[in-house]
Amino acid sequence: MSENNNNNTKNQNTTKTNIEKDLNKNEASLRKIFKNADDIVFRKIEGGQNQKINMLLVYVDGMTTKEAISEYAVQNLMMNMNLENLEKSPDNEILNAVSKTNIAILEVKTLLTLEECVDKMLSGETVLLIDTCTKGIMLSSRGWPMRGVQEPAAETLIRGARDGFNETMKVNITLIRRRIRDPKLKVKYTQVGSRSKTDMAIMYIEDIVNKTVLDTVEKRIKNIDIEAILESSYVEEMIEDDSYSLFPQIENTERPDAAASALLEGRVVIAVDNTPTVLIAPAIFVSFMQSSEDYYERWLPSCITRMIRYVALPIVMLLPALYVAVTQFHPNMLPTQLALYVAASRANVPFPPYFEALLMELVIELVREASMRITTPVGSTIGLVGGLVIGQSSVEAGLITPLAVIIVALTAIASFTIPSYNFSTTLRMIRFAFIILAAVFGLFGISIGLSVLIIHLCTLKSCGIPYMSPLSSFIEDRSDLKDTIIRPRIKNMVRKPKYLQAEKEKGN
Amino acid sequence: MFNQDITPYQNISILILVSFAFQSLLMPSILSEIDGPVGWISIAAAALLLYLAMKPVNKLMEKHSEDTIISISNKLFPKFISRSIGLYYIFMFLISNSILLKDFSEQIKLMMLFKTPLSTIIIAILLTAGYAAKKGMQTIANITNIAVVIALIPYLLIIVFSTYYADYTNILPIYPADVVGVAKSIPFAMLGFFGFSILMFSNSRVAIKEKNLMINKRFIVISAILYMACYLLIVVKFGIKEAVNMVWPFISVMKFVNIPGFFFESTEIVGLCFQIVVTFTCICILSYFTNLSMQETFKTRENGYFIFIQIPILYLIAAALPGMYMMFPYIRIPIYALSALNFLIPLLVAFKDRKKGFI
Amino acid sequence: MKKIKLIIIILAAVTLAMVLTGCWDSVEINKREYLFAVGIDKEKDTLKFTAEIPKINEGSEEQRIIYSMENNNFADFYNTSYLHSDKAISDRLMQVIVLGEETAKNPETFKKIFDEIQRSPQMNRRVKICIAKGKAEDIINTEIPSNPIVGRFLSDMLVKLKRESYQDIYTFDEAILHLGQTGNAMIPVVEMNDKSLKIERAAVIKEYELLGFLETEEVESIMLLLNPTKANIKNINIKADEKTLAIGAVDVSMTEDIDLTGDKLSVDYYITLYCYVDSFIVGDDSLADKNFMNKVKEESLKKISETTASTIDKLQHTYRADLLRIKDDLYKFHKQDYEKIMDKYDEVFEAAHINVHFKMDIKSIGLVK
Repeated sequence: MSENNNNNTKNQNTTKTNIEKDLNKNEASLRKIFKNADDIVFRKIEGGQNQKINMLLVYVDGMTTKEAISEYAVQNLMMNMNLENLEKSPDNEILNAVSKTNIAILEVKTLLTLEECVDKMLSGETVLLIDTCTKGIMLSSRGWPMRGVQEPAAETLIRGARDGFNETMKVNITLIRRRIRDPKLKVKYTQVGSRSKTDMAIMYIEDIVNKTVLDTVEKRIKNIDIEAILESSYVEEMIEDDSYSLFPQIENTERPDAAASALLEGRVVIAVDNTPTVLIAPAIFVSFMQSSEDYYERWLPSCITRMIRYVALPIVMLLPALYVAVTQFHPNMLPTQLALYVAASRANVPFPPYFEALLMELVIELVREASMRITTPVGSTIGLVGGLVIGQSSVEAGLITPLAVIIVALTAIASFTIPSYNFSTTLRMIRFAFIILAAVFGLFGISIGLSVLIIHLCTLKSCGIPYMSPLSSFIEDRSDLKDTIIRPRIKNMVRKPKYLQAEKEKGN
Repeated sequence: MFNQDITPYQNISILILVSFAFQSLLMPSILSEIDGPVGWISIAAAALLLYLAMKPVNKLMEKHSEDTIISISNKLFPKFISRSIGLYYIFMFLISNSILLKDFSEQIKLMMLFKTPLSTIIIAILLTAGYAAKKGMQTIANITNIAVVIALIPYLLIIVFSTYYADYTNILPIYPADVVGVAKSIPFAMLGFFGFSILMFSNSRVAIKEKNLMINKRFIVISAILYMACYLLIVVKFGIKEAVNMVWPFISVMKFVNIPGFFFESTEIVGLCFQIVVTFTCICILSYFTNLSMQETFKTRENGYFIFIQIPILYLIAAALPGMYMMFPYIRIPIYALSALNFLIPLLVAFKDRKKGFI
Repeated sequence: MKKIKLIIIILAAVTLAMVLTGCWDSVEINKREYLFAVGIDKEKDTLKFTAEIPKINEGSEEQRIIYSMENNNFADFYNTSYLHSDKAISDRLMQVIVLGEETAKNPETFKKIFDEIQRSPQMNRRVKICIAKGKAEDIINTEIPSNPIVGRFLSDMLVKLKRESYQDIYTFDEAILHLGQTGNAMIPVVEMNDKSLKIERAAVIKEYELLGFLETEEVESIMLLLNPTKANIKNINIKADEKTLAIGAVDVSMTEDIDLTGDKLSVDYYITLYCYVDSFIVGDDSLADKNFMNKVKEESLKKISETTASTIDKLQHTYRADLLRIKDDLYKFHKQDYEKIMDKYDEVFEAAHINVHFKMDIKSIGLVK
């Protein structure tokens, strides 16, 4: 384990306090730093043949594996210390000897300043200070309560690996490494957050990553100036190209296999400690429409399911708006029978269609939000109550038309087919804008709205990659089109996505 | 990061899309100029002429690969001439853009929003188009490509379904063709290849130059095929006699789209929606290139902000113009002049450049 | 820079908000009234419009409102209806327009109505059209028990007849195209039939004027010449050797030969009918007899030829209406010769030799011998 803090000098305290020769002084300054922090444990031991050497072990209670320290360090130091001749030897020789011969722990590191000691302690290591030595020893002892590797709840698949990331970055990296046993898979550690000092890892495969993207990501992460990172979404927001945009420009996943496949495509994966969600950059429009299950099922059915997803896309965005436009502006678009039926069903409804649509969409959003906040068993009840009771009774009360209920329900269902949660949230929000546009201008308003949406999507970039690629250059990148709306056979997918390979293409 | 270059194929789709909008605009004049359904011959002739003209133009573009026609002429001609060429292009773009805008908003008004004031529709389109034009070349190129995927291709596919109960013998008689009419309508047909003028500007922004010039030629071929196909479609559906009567033959064709089991009854509105996106993209493109030609003519560094000058001008022209059908009687001479100038200016510049090269 | 951007955005938003608060065209679907069928009868100076509007009500039973008004033209009619109703009148779902006999006989009115339909951006050119025998008002007023909305009844019926090639045209668009190409059109005729309506005959329209009617068999034989691939002859009843027999034609193939030398036009149709036997006598073996079959063929050909000849004769001499669209063919395939006789085409057509040569092949005799 080699921590690489060079990148983050900016966020570190620049003052340095040397470790004193006098152990008591060191203890005092440490106690001063950790004033009122009762979870810090100071353990003084006397080692050596005659119990002459004073030592101090400091660690944070709860973040260390106590067994390892007591069994392989403390025990050895107290009982079997063979430091016969060193008791009086000066300065740091004793320290070297201790770390080389007495501590049976895999990872040991020399620490030079008190600040370093504090940093290590706070990340769960145990620090050993020895009287007369001006250096400290870090004993690797990280260990804290950890969630096991479970299936991610938000991205469940019928077929595919059941493991998911958890809150420990190291575990997450391991899960990815296990899938790509290539020395070219690089993992760069860095620390972000002036207070939280959150560990982050930038992962990529050296020879297929787009260097421009990698540079952009590294530069942006370096420039993050924030107090604390509590979730990877903080990072996402800090490094995305246009944070005013509704559309997510960084993909995220809890599935190691999805992360691995992103790496193999040549993308960059950013793992953040304390977060089960890793970030994938760059993310383009079509990548939000892909699910890893597409690749685990047989290709032909996957093709069709993916196409169905693309059918769902306009439904989520446009269907309520179309309802408004058709009933308010262009009833002649409907087949005559249906037009008459709709007119008849609307006969006693007091609200105009746009209000009806907005109202029902609001209800659906309320139900969704409510069921999200409540535990699962109650949540499904809320869904039932919301869907059945409110829909049914408001139709009976003559507040809305049955057609509106159908449309809103269809929209809600369609929104669940979008694999990426944050993407489908975006689409749902856009829907409201479309309803209002349709209420003002009918289909013309929808078309104008679509045009604005297209313009916006075309200006968006994700780490320098155009968001709408490969569609925005569909003739050049026609080989990429294969894996957008359809899912080709794995045999035919040997080529890396072209839009990511700008660097390589020019090089060749 | 701030790479404003486009790819050759993005370039060609810009050219094709712009040309398509003008083709459907000019279709009624081509239909009515000629006695008999042989307008496609004049389209083919115009395409051939332009194809031949591409050779000197390409040579010119190859030599000055980073320059637009205005900056080339700045180098070659005295200030007065180059200024006038620049002003001509600004004027031409503004006029064609506002005609497109006017005609298009008129269609929307008649077909979709009968009581909505025309100016509201024009403003709504202009503001959105201005937003895009300010964003720069790459955005425009991306938008165009997406518009081709989500609007132009579905639009053309839908239109094919209108041949239900159509009479294919309507494309006859070919012989004897009305030669005079065909010759007369070549300028009309030529103006339909509006991309030819755009090309003088867009080529300077293309990233991969070598391939681009070859692909440029392809634009003429593809555009000509589209043009002829649309012409024939109208003729097949209505017969030449009825087609001549129509103000917007294209929209009228849309009324006959008959897709079995299609949910929507009046398909012309659906078609119009696609066309909104297509025409709208064209207006974006044209506004962008007006900006660009303003930038080159007035030698400023920034072009995005010209859109704020452009929007009021476009709005005023579009509001002042009469409807397209009212213009038909007066439109002939301006169209002859425009298409002649569009065709000749690049050739003139190319010729001058070559002469200079010899000396 | 940022400030300018913000100001621009706010300005744009404000203008948009001001401009966009119109919703000028928004009329809710239930606040409209849809004309389904309009009948037009000519009165002395004005036109009498009879409109059918399906009543929008919840529940399954269908009702309609019918009202008549005297106006000068469609626009006038809409305006008055607008003033007479609590809802917005909309012609966007118009199914069928029925022209009264008198209206159709007056070319000026006929033209005016056609022009108005063609010009209107709202009304679909695909609106169906038919001509009423008698008054259009009566047709619209007919209470059909099975389908209370006449507009829908007629529309469905016309679509069916066109698909099965019983009638040449069904939409207004086709009528206008045919009238433009050749000056003639054959428009379906709707008649009262007991309590319901029927469409059997067709009206001969020449230069926007109703000249007369064609009987069912006549329509059938014209359809055979116009659209042989889709045509069918449902039933030919003949007598051979004192035995009655019915055959029907299932497949028709035709070649056409047009010749124009000077003023002399001769048109030859060569038609092969592939037939099957519909009805005969059970147990009779005559169908296996070659002579008998030849006789059957002879008889039936004679019968068809007679009808066809008389129909063509009627077209040539009674109506002088080129419903066979020979003119169109001449224009397309013999343009140079055609241009010489273009002005006096009617005479040329009247004097033309139009011959139909039939051949028959009995393909099947059904499931029993």
